[in-house]
Amino acid sequence: MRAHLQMVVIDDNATNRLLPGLFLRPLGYSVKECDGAKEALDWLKNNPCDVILLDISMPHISGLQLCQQLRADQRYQHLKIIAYTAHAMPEEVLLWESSGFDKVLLKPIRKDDLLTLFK
Amino acid sequence: MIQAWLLTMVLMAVCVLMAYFYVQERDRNRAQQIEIDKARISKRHVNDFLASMSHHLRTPLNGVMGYAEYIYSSTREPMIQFTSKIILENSLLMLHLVNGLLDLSKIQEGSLDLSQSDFDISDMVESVRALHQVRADELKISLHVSLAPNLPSQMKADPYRVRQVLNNLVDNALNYNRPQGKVTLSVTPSSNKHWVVFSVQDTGKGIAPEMQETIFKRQQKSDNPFLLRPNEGAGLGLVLSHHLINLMGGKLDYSTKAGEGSMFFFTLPLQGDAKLAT
Repeated sequence: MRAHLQMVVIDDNATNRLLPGLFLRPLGYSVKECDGAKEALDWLKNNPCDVILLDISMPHISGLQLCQQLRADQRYQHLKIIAYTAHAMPEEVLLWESSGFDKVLLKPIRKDDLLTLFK
Repeated sequence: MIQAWLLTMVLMAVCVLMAYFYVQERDRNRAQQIEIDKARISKRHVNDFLASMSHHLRTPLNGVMGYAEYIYSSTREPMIQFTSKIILENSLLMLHLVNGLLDLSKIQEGSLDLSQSDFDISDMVESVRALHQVRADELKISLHVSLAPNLPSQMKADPYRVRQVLNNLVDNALNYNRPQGKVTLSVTPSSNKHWVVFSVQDTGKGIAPEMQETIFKRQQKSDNPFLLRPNEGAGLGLVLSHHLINLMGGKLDYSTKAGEGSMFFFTLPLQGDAKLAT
């Protein structure tokens, strides 16, 4: 497994925002938490990043909008963007998979599912 | 002169009749279209509501399950491990219930959409086995897969739903088994090769006679509604599996022998259900 990846978790819900970091930091990942698209975009401008865990339902700019914005930006083509969402109906999952997300991580998450993403 | 007049009258009558039928047909089409639109809107509302419910239930469950797992994996204190594992297991049960109830609601509202695509049968069965292997080892039950040699490699159905039914049947076969028991997941083609038969065999006690009639039905209120029979869950899994297999053009059934075990089996059309073809 690759360690020292820089991750950003973007979720307006603090409980769910802090959870992935609890599992990933002890394994050597650097994790930055952002409560919305604006904070994330500001941070991404000045910091390197490999993977984004992105919630879908957020105020102001949804995760879907942010994903499409990042996909359209030359600077962020290397980013792996993972939908981190409780929108889990099969038709919703199909939508995330066809909307620019590399993978989908459904809430509630299990530690193993989270780690499998980076194998 | 009279002939010309008669002809004019007949032509006019024909025109009036045609106009009348045209208007009637148009109104009928409109009424039909309105009904179709209403059904579509109602189906969309139901689906939107259920999707929103699912989202709202799963979001707090992420907090419960995630932090319980974190506590469990970051302590060596036996009592804390024991209690956090209980939280984790119970929230997992709740997640299954939430998923099952949402699916059942969709089926009842007629708004469950099934996809149809080709998938590899042995990959599917192997992934189901792999998912349950840890639990089988915990319970000291041997879990086997048996694929008929003449089984086609691919079939057409909704892979998400086939997996859901198989997971449910294997889960039941593990839960209602005896220690040192055995679970066998088999797949064979039907003799005419048009169908695929999946079966899950256990070595448990068998299904009690009083349960057999209602096993695929939603639980009815009995004379003693608060009496819980041993080993009785919410009973959603089999009800749901039965509906799902029916919707995919197949049939779910079982055979059971007291003291020796049960076998649940379902058939699905190898090339998918023509009704579901898009």
